[in-house]
Amino acid sequence: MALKSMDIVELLKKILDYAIASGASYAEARFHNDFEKSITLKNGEVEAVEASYERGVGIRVIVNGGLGFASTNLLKPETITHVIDRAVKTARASSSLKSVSIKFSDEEPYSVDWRVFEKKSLENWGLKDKVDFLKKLDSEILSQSVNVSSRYLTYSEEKTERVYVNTEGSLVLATVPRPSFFALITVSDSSKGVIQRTLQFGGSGGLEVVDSWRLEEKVKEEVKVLRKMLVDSVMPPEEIMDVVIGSEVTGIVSHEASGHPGEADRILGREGAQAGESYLKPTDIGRKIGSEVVNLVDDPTLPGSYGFYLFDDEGVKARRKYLIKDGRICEFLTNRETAASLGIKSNGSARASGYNVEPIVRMSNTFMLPGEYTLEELLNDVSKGVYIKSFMEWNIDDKRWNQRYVGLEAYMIEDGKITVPVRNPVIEITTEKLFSSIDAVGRDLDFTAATCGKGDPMQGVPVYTGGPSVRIRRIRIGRVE
Amino acid sequence: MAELQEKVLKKLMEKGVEEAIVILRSDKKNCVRYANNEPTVAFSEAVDTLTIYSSIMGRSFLGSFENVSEDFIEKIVDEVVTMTKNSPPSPYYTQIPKGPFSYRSEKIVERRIGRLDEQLVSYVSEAVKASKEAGAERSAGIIYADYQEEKLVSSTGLSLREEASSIILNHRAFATPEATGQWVSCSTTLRDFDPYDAGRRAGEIAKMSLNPVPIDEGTYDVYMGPLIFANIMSEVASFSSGFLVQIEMSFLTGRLGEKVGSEELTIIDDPTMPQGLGEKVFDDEGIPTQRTVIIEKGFLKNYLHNSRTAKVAGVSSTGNAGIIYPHPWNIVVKPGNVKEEDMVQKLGKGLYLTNCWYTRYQNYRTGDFSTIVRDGAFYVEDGEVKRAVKGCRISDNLQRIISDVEALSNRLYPIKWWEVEVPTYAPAAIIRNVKITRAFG
Repeated sequence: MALKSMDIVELLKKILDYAIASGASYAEARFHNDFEKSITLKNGEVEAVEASYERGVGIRVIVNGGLGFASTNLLKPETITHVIDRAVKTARASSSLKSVSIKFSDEEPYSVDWRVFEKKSLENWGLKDKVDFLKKLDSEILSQSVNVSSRYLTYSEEKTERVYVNTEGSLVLATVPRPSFFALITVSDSSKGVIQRTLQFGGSGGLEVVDSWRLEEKVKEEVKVLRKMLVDSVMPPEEIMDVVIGSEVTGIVSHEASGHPGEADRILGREGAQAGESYLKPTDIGRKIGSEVVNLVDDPTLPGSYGFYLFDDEGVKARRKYLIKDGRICEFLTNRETAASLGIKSNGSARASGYNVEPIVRMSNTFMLPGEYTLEELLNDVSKGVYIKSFMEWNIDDKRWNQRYVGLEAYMIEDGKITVPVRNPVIEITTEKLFSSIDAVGRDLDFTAATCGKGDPMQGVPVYTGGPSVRIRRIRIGRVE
Repeated sequence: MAELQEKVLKKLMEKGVEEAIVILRSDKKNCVRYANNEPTVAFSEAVDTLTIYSSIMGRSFLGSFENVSEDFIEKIVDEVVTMTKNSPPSPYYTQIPKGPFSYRSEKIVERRIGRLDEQLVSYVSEAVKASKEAGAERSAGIIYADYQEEKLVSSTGLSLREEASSIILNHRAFATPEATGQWVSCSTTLRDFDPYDAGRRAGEIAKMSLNPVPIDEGTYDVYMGPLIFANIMSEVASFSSGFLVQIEMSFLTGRLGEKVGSEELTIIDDPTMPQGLGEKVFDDEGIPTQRTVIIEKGFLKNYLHNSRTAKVAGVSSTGNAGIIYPHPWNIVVKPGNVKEEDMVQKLGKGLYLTNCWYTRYQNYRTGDFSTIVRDGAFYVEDGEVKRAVKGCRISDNLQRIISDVEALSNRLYPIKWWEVEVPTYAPAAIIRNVKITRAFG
C-alpha cells in the first residue's frame, strides 16, 4: 500500500470521529488501493500496455435517518472534511423527506485481515512473458486452418487492497489479486458470412489461476467450433422440444433469473430506475419457482473463484446462500440496510467495486448445484431436442421474468445422440417456465467468469456464473432469421 | 509555480521519455438517488485523476493514477518510465500530435452546478410530485450534478484547459409495478433543467401503461419515442469508433461510403454544439474536436478516429481520442419534419415504444441483437393508441432497423442516462418492419 496499514487505520478512525462530530449516528470508512495492468493484442500486435491505480476513501454516514456517502482520492484533511460535510448536509436534507429512517441490521464486528495468496506470483511473470503468452495464443488461433478475420485479446491483472472500519468496532483488511483474460474472435467464410465469440476467464490468486485455464487448448477448440457452426450448421426447427443446456448457459440463467431477482435491494425497490426491481416480493420466501431438482446458491467462499471474498464491504462475514432449495425460493441476498428492512441479519452480500461507490447488494459466485446425471444420461432420454453448449446474446427484463438466450455452439439431439450443428437456437422464456421445466441436473459442475454490472453510478464486480448441464423438457425453440 | 501536470511532464522528459501527454482531471460530483418516493442515498465526490501517455522509441504506455499528491510524483514517473521502456514496440504507435492547433474559445460553463447539494433534494421532490400529479404512485431515480476541470500538457508544447458541468435527472414513475414510465432532464444549464417536466412525462407514460396485455410476436411498424431511439442511435454511433471497426466489433466494419441506413437518417458527432451535454474543445491527444458526420442520408461517411486508429486506416484523426479507444462525444441525430403529436397518426398501425434496456449482440459484425422494451409500450391502430402492451422484445438487426427509418420528428431531446452513456440528441422515429418477440410460458 502507498501508506502503511496502521497509518490508514488511523486516518479512517479520524474520519469516523469527524463524521460522528458532524451529526452522524453511524459512520464507516473504506480505503482502497487498487491497481490494474493490462495488455491488449489487436490482430496479433500489441495495441496497448495500460495500468490504472485507484486509491481513495469512501465514507458512509447515517444522519437523522438519511444515508450519505462521500468519496475522495485527495487525502488532505480539508478535502476529506469538505466531502463529508456535503454528504452529511445532503443526507440531512434527504432525511426530511423520509417516512422511514435508514437502519442497519445488527452485526457482529470483526477484526480480521484476510487475503488471497498467489501460489505463483503474478509480479514475477514479466511484461515480456505476458506479451509472449498473448502472442502464442494468437498464433494458436491462427494455426487451425480457419479464416479468422480478426482477433482481440486482453490479459489483465488487478489487485485490490482494502481497509474497512466502522463506528461499531469493525476493522477488516483484505487483499485479493485477480488475473483475467478476454477475447473476441471473428471467423469468416466467403459464402456463410461471419460468426463471433467472446471469451472471458478470471479468478482470484496468482499465475496458477492463469495456468488452470488451459487457454491454448481452449482458443484452438473455440476456433474450430466457430468454423463448424458457421459452415456446417443448419437452422433449428421452430417448435416445442426438449433442450439440454451446458454449464455456460446454466450459469447465465442462474445469474439472471435467480441471482438478480433475489437481490433484496431490487425486491424493496431501491434499484427501480436503473437495474430494475424483481418478480419476487418480500413475502416470497418459500414460493415455488421451479421443479424440485433445482437448487441454486450464491457462494463467495469458493477458493480461487472470480467472485471470492471472506468478508463483504460492510465487514459482514461471507457465507453460502441458498437462493433456491428444492425448487422453492429460500433466501434473498442482503446487505445491512435491506436486512434491517426485512427484519433479518445480513448474509454478507454487500460489495463496492471501488472506494468511490457505496456498497450495494451483489452476487459473488452464483450457480446451480450439480445433480447425479452424466451428460450422456441427460441426452439419452431425449428423442428430439437441442443441445445448447454456449451462447452469445442474452437479456432479461428488469423484473427478471422474460429472458432470452441465443445459442452459439449448439446441436440437434436425435434419439439420445448429438447430431448436426444448429445455428443460433433461441430460448425465450419466463423464469418460472424455465425453472419448472428442468427435470434432470448433471454432475458436470463448471464456472464461467463474468463482470456483473449494477447500480448508478455503475459498478462492475467480478463474479462466477455456473452450474452443470441441465435438461429442460418441452420448451419452445426459436431462430434468429 | 508549475502545476502538477507540468511537473510530471517535466520529470518524465528528464528521465528519458521521448513523448508524453499528461492530463489532470478534477471531478466534483453530487448526487441523490431515490426510490419509493424518498431519497435513498446522497453522494458527494471529489476525485483527481492523472492520465499519462508516454513513448520511447515506438514503445508506448498509458496509465491512470489517482494518487496525485506531490510526494507521489516521483513514484508515478518511475513507474511510467519503467512500463514504457518494457513495453514492446507496436505497429499501431504513432507520434503524438504537434499542432499548432486552433481551438474554439467560446465554451460557456455554469460552475454553480458543481456546487449544488441540498438543492438536489428539492429537485427530487419536484419530480416525485409531478409524477404523483400525473397519476403515478411512486417514483425512483437519480440526479447528478457534475463539474469537471481538465488540464492537458504535452511534450509537443500543448497546454490546454477545459471545464464542463452538467445536471442530469433520470426519473422512473410507477403507476403499478407493471405500468411504468421513464423520462430524463439533462442540461448544462440550470435554466434548461426541468425536473418537474421529467416527473410529469414519466408519470403520464406510467398512467397510460395501466393494465398492459401481452401481444403476439411478429413484425410491427414501430413509433420509437426519443428515449428508445436515442438508445439505438447511441449504439449505432458508438459502432463508428475506429477501434471497434478494426477489431470487427461493429456492423459498420467495411461499409465506409456505402448506404447503411435510410435516407431519412443523418447522425453526427458534434462536440462543437454550444452548451451541448458532450461539448468538448480538445480530445485526449490535445487535438481540437470537430463536427464529424457519421451517417448522412443513410450513407456511412466517416469513422471516428484517434491518431492510432487513423494511422491504420490511412486517414487523419477526427479528434475523438481516447488515446487507445476513440469514441463519440456528443451524438446528434438530424431531426425530421413530423410534429411529435402527429407521430401516432403517421404510424397508423403498430407499436408505440417509449424505452428499452439491456441491449446485447449475437454478432457485432452483422448487428444481430435484441433489446428489452420497457416502460410504456402501446398498440396503435387507426392512428390511435388502443391499449398498453407488455413483455415484448426487439429481436432484430441493427443495420436493418436503421434502413427502415421512415420518419423523424422535428424536435431533439438531450438524453443521457444509465443506458445511454454518450450524450445523444434524438428525435422520435417511425421504423417499419421491426421484429418483436416475447417469452414462452
